[in-house]
Amino acid sequence: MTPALHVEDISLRLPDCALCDIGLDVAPGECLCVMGPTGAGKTVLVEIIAGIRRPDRGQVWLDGHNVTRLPAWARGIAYVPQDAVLFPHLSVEGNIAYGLLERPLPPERVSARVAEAAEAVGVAHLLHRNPCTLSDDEAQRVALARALVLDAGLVLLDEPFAAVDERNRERLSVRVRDLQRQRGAAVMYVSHSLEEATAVGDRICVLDAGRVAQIATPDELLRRPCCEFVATFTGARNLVQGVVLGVNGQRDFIAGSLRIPVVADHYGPARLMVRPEDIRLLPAGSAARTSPLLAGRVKRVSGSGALVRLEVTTAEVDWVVLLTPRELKAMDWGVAEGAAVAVDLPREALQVIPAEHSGSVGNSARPGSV
Amino acid sequence: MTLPAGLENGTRSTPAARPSSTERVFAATVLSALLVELLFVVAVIGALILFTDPASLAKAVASPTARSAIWLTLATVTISSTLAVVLAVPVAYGLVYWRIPCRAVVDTVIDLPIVMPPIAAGLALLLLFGYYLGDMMRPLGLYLPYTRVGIVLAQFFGTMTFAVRTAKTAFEGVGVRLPAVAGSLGSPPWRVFRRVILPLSRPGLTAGAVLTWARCIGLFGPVVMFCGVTQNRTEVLSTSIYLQNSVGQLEVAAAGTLILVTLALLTLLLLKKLGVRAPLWQ
Repeated sequence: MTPALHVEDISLRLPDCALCDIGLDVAPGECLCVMGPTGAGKTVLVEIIAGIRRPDRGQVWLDGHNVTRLPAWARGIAYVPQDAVLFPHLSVEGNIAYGLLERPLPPERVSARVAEAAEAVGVAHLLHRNPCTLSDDEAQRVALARALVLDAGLVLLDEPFAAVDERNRERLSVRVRDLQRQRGAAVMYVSHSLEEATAVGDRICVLDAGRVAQIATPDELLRRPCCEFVATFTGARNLVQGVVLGVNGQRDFIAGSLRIPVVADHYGPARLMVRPEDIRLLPAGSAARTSPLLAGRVKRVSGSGALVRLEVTTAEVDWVVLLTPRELKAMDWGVAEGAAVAVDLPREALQVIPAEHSGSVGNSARPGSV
Repeated sequence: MTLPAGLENGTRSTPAARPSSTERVFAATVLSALLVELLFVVAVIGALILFTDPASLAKAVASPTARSAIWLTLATVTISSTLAVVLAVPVAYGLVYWRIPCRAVVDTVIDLPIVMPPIAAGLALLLLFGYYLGDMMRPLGLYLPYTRVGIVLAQFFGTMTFAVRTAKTAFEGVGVRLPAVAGSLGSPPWRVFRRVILPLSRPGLTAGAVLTWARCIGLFGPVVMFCGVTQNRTEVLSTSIYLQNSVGQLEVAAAGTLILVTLALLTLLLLKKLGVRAPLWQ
């Protein structure tokens, strides 16, 4: 199937930011979230696809057509900029209808589509207001309606809900994703929030200093980050610095006295990552079954909401473990601060990441871990 | 026990209660500057008003020569400032919204007439349209020096940069984000200009047009060099003042000056009425 958007080796050098050989695809009906630290080039990438900026190198293809040389107005993309950018001389209704008035549509059809788009993002009651009187949240919703009303094959959303409060952000973003999926439109969604990205995105693209670090499904990104940067950016805990050694195909991750059999396709310096929710706690002295057990002690228990956070100290590493209150309650043998436990690291949860040369990244290993 | 200064009575003295000598000098400087500026303007205009009695003003205005100068001024200024604004809008649009190679050079060349000494501008016009192109244009009936059309050309040259700069300021006020977003919504450049840039820059463009007109009316150097001052032929208000003064008709010159000052005042009032806060120095 021809991708709705195909970006091929896009490069652009600007004074404060540079994109280097960016390549990605977005299928019709798919939502690709773009994440990255400030200055990674997310907005610049979106502006290149929208036609607002021209790349130094590379090509942009829409539905199989090369649009790199086409001006923004001829691309047929719906674009929602980061800061709403509403036309101050037009009413909210005039703003939403702006793009439709460029098309040969009868006025009653324009009004109906404006009303429909305004209803979808909850601004139907604001249609006759002046944009200057709107709150940031309302202005962003109007900008979203202005883009959605175009019914474009590709929608570019640059942090469309940055000014919306946390509670409504996820609800609105999922609603927009569902709307676009119904219409079969591809969505490129720039976000700062991992929660939002995992809720909305079919896949997530992580940018690091103008390069694509990884493109993967949310689950794959969280469980199988390709590098230290992605692991730390996606909030991974339990990153242990060590080395992968092995003979006869058997590979072990070694950090001080910690030696764990792992599946890895390389040797040498590496980091071991275990997601906090994958670690199991067993009563001290439990017999090992398939995965190694580490003797430890619960150092701290905190949180009482959806997840309880436990810090467990073993000989080499401090592990962070996340349990649901129900899981904690099921441990009737007693998990409390100071309790001795056995830490079970399931083999399938162990992820070995090749070490990068760029210094240290945040981890829970104590100083001295090899 | 001895209390620190200011706390003897149980109260702490605040810095605002006793301004330092530096603060007093600063306030006095600002006040003096304000007074000097106001007094100077009032004194100069006052001298003009005192000198011109209503009878001589009426007589000067009623004379055929003065009326000819007034009408020629209003006609040429309106034509030349309209031409300047009509040309300035697309030029300013290009400078603000297009990626022009060697933009700094282009910008500097366009700005040149505004920093050029007015007399030098007049001489340059005379050289171009008289010395170089004069013989070529004369058989076509388009010889411009010392003609009324020449006045329009001199005024146009003297104010076109000013018109470009005011239009540019108006477009820069709109910025590039709104037009870019309008483009992404499917508007081609002309439609973006008509639907977004023009409505948003209209106050600035109006102010620019009014100021260009006002600047045009007082233009002297290029006009006097390029067209001379021939009574009832190429005599406009600004050159008329010079001519009347040089032949000893001081009262007529003062009356002409008063008319120019009144027109300038009306321009300022019109700008205020339009609610435009345009930077007058541009």
